[in-house]
Amino acid sequence: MGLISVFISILAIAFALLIGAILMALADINPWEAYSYLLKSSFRNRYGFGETLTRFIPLLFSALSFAVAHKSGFFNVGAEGQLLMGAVGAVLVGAYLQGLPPVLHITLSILAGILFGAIWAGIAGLLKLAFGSNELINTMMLNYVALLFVEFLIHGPLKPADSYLYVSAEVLPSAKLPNIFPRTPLHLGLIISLVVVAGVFYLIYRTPLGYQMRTVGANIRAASYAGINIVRVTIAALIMTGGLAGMGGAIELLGAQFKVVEGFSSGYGYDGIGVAVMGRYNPVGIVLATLLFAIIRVGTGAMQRGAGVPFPLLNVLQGLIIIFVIASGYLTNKLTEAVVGGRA
Amino acid sequence: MPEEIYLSFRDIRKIFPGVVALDGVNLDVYRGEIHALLGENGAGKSTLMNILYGLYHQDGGEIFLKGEKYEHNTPKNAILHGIGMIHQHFMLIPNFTVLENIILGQTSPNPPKMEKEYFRKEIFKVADKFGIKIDLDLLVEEVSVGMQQKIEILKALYKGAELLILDEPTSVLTPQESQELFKMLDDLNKKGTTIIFISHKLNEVMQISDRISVLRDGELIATVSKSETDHHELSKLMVGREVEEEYQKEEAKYGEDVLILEKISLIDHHNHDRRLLKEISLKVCEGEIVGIAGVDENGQKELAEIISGLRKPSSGKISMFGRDVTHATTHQLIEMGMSYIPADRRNEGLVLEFSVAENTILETNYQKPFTKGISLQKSVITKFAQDLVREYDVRTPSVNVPVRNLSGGNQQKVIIGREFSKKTRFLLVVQPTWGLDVGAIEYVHHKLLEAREKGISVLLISTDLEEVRKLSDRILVIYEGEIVGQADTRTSVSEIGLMMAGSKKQTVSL
Ligand SMILES: Nc1ncnc2c1ncn2[C@@H]1O[C@H](COP(=O)(O)OP(=O)(O)OP(=O)(O)O)[C@@H](O)[C@H]1O
Ligand SMILES: [Mg+2]
Repeated sequence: MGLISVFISILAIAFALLIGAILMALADINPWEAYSYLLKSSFRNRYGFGETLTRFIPLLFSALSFAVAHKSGFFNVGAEGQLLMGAVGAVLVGAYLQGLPPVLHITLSILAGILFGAIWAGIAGLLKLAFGSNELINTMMLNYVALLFVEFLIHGPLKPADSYLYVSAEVLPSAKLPNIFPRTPLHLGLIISLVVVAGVFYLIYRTPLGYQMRTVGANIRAASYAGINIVRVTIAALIMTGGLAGMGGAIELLGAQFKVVEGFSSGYGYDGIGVAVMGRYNPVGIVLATLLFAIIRVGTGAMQRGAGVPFPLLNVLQGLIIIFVIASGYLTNKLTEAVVGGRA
Repeated sequence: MPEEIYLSFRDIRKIFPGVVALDGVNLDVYRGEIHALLGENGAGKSTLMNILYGLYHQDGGEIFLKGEKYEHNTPKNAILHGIGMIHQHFMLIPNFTVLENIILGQTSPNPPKMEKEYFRKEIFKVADKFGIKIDLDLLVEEVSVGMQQKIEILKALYKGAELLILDEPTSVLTPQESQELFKMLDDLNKKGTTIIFISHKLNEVMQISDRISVLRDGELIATVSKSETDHHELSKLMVGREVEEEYQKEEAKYGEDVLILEKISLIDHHNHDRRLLKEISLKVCEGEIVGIAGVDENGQKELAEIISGLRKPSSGKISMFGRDVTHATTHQLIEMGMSYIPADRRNEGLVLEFSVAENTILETNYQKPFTKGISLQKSVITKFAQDLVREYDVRTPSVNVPVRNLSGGNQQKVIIGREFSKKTRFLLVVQPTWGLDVGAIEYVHHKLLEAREKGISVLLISTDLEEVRKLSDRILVIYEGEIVGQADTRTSVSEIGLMMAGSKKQTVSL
């Protein structure tokens, strides 16, 4: 079934690209040219390749964040805000704590990012536990709060006195993640992110906590009848979902951007939702889907500049791919049902 | 008059991965009869009917309807051909009215308008013809389960059903509701509707059917007419051996008190003047089975939730093994040795998406040997589940299939196996044999008696009076949230029945 599902996904993407091509043709753009820019920017040269893998990193963290929440039965659409808060946490430690050896400094900065992200998700969780308010709305609203909060910080408290740009202080050299692919921006965060994927899925499928999270996610009543402590498990899941997004923000800061600026995230948190759904919440699927999105992210710039594809059309293309892959998942289910028989 | 064959199955085969669900089934249904399908859990009854209704496709064999070959079985086609199916789990939308539910999916005569009034008249005609009385403007969520079933039947009739299939229709009904249903089926039948009726309850089958077919392991064993058979023969056909009617029980060896409830009351959240439970006091000792009999929805659910720590009483005190557990959590009670078999297995006892193996460690996942260090021990869990499946005779191709794929009875066996393989000192069981076949019921009953012999204390809450009488050492009767009477195995059924109906009260002491 795995192979069929991969095949159908590829077919779905091809289909989405085809429709995208038609739309472009209607807008008097040569689709071949546009698509060649898309691929060229990621694969033609070393720099583009490194850049793509650099974009891959924060995207992967936010996809994981959404997947963990989903497995535990709630919707966290707040990765964007949690990621921003994670970057804030990391910059506080990374830019202001002096005289630490690199390994320790990096570790502490990342931990601060995890903590800030977890707290941000935790606020939404507490609102749900205390008042039963919907976590989808809570996490969504907190995104705006985080965005404005970051803006406030870089206009005031975190803005270095000698800077006339609205940015935070830069992280100290001892907190920067080392480059792993010279002459490109690619940094150690890539390795960390892949280790984290493995760790997260190990936790979900191979540990009692993960088992309990999945139980709560799949059938909360059965979980309570089995004596599973729902509050505790939910809090653990919240810490994980927020912590992962926060970690993504921290690593993006320490490895790629070094300063918190306006537009620091540019929608990684939201894209992560699409990636997780497209990757069917499984590790291999998520990694592949993240790669695809990273390619599109890097390629869209070139498509815009090179072939003159308007930005909204690029958003449409991305949306089409998500919709088609999700729809194809449904198709795969139907197909397997038809072959082996489902149960009503 | 020679019987006219309305429907026939010829050599139907159906294979699921790892199981042969139907193995060459031949079955004729006559026009205008009530035909019962009997068979053990997993025998293939639902599968056969789902094939007819088009939810599954057969791997071999043919269906003939009114003498013609019936191909392309899909639900849509089934409806066109006058086949209606009432599933065990209703397919109604709770916040729609009855009318809206019935016309769902119908094409309006004058789109885009809904033309509700047109439909109302049409539905009235059908309801009138069959003598069904339902208020079409009620919201479905406001009506009882029995009423929902009537709505489903009316819906099928409105769509033109000449053949009605009912899959275990009475398992969700109270005995009174069941009798009403039978009356309705009888009326429909007199007006020409052919009915196929799946049930495990021999009384019901003997009461309403004309002919009875028995499936076993995917094969049709026999079709007999009601007048030529009896309970005995049927259960033998089903299970392949004699089933015990009465159990040999040793005298109870009462030990220490295990569970004591003192004046437990529960106030309704929504309506503070209403008490769902009224000063319930009871006691269960080691080595005895205390049965709580009563008609459904008289507080049994709430009582079980309170005892298992899922809900807190408004007042009163609970102790278990001499400790005050009024405020204990479910987890603490489980750690103290409580096992709980809840009433609603699909929603409370199992995680349907999980595999059989995963479902066997719902409560014990974090304990040794299932977890070592921080990791679940996959091979240990698989081995444990395989042993459990073998010992409790769960019919499943492997322990890795989702528990959703198991037949209802086999799902219950997974729960029973799980709860019985823990170190249990107190067993709370609610409706343990709901939906089980006679053989499986006997098996569960034996397990409960075995537990009692081992000195475990058992509190059995069941609406099946026969079951309560067969197993319990003492019987308490619950009515409107109150214990209204006490009885033992010598008390007559009619006397307990009166108490259950609330027309006879005694004062009960501990
Ligand atoms: N979708 C499915 N996938 C795999 N196996 C299935 C599926 N549906 C049914 N089965 C298997 O087919 C067999 C027959 O199941 P079926 O549901 O027809 O039994 P049944 O006679 O209705 O039993 P019960 O009385 O317990 O409802 C069982 O072994 C069951 O596990
Ligand atoms: Mg069935």
